[in-house]
Amino acid sequence: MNCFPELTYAVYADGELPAEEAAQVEEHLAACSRCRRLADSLQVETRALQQALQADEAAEPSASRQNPPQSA
Amino acid sequence: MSDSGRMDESTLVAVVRRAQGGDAEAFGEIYRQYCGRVLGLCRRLLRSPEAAEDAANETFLRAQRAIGSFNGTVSFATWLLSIASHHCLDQLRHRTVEQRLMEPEWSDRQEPEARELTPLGQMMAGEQALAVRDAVEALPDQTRLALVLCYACGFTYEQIAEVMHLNRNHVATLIFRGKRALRKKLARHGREQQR
Repeated sequence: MNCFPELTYAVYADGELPAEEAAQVEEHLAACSRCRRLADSLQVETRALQQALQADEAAEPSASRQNPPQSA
Repeated sequence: MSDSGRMDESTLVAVVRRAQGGDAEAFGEIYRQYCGRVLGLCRRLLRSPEAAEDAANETFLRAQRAIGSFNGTVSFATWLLSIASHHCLDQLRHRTVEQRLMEPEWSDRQEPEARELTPLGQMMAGEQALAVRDAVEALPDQTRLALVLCYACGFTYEQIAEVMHLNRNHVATLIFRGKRALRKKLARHGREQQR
């Protein structure tokens, strides 16, 4: 089986490939070490991006933000 | 309420129902629960603390007006962050052409080598979160929005497509190219750090 384009592995790493296509990718990854390294790297990137960007998403409200804004 | 200070799902459902019934105190609880996330998202998208404060306030005003239409087909966080995203996107669209012309240029012509990816992923996973966030903030508006919605807010490609009025394939390509641009920026950052 031919290797898939990098975009396909990137979408796979984000968990966004349709099930049927994901199964084809997994079949290929089992047989191709180069693509497996690429897919693993993309998954590391996805997790790292989630960690970096979610790190300060859950900031606690400051004392000045205890009440919602009021419309004028 | 969980130990982390976040409401558990059943508490949240009850609070949202009360807010839908016009209970201002319940909406206050929602505000305190989510204002950090909404503000964080607005800051990332608008790159201006003042504009982000305004956008976060506007988000909660809109959410309060529209909360009756929340029907649970998506999570409440997704619903609320969608309102914030729509508003920030409108703000970005209204910015002047001059501002947009000052956005950094980036190219996606070269395919990265697979071997570049692992060290970069490790760098992202290490103590470089700030560098990653700075690099994301320097991306063009559309790309930044897609990456933030995907990785900070956990939106699916479908949800991002809906917010950004794009098709799903376009979202996939934006995210793909955005990550490629990030790799370049962060690789450069890594080389500078080593000097």
